[in-house]
Amino acid sequence: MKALILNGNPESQDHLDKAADLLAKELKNRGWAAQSFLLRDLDVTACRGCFKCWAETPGICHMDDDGRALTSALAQSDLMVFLTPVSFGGYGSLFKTAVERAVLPLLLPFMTVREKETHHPLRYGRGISLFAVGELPARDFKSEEIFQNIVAANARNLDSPDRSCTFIYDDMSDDEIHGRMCLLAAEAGAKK
Amino acid sequence: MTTPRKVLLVNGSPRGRESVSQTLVDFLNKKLTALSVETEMLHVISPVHPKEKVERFHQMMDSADSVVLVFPLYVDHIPSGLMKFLEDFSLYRKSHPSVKTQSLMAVVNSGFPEASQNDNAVAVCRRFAESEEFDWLGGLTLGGGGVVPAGSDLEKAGGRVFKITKALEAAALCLADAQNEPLPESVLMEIRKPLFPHWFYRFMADWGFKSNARKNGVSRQMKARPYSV
Repeated sequence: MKALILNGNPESQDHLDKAADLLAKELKNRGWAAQSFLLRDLDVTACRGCFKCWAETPGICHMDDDGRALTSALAQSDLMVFLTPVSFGGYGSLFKTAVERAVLPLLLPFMTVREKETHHPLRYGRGISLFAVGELPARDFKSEEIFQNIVAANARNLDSPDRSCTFIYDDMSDDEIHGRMCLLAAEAGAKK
Repeated sequence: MTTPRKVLLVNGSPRGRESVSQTLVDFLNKKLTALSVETEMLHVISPVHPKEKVERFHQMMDSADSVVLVFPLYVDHIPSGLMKFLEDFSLYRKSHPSVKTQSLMAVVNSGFPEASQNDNAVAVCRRFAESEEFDWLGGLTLGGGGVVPAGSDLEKAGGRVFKITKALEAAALCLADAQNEPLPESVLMEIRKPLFPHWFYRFMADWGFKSNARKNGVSRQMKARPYSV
């Protein structure tokens, strides 16, 4: 089983980097083949909404940069883990740029109904489980609720068999972050 | 003599002027101008901009009485370029607090027929407004955005966009009012009603993509799996 960890931390030496490393280790301990991408080190241009990946070069973005590697890795994964700062309840812009580029070529242009909503069928015919870690300066119930709803919407879009969401805060110790990542990895392990 | 109200219309579509968002911005601009409101337009196409341009963005935000974020739904959310714009402005506001009352409105369009799929994006805009101390005027959510002609005149699109033009006219009145009263709930709900039956919209959307693929000579490759192992 393959897990893909997408770390959307825009700065180094931060809680998110620690969380990504700890989670990768915990997933590997549970037998997952975990691959990590540090998004700030990649060259990913923002999606231009041209839909060429649907109707001109199906499944491949016409922009030849690291965005293609993200799509390729996701297409072969059973679990994707999103790590991002929370911006006004949403994904941080660095992370959002990568998700837009990675996800669109994974979908077919056609429309189908899933959970009473219109969505796109999956190009590779199977859903990918979605776990997310949001980073906030401190507890913020309103932003956390929005973030959880966005993760749930993404999971519906990607027909994820499983989804989970957790948060880390600036005042957390390394042990506390480790604890949260152990719990997340345990969820993945239990459902493997 | 009172100073005219100033509204900044931000088009957050990565497709820029050739977008449904631009059609909505142009219509709003026309209605606001008719109400003697001063308008400015801004295109936020990508997350990457030169420093001078970002500074100009911030000056435009500062000088506006109201800001309208008009954008398409991208992967259940705000497009990355617009998100970077909001993040940069939030950082700027820490050292440049607002000196006047400002308000914010969102107009979100989605390619899915259900307007409700835009709700998370509206929630993010509202959280931004709360965080940066803008009065929140409400979020118009438009499903089935494919029926709106991209980069063209909304008034020439005929009766099928009647609910949209009505809602945007109400939005213009709301923006022209110096009281910063939020959009009435009835307006927010009316625009959410489907323009067509959902099954018909899905059928037409499928047909459109198949037609594009045929033009590009890739009809038989539409379901290709280039990254299969």
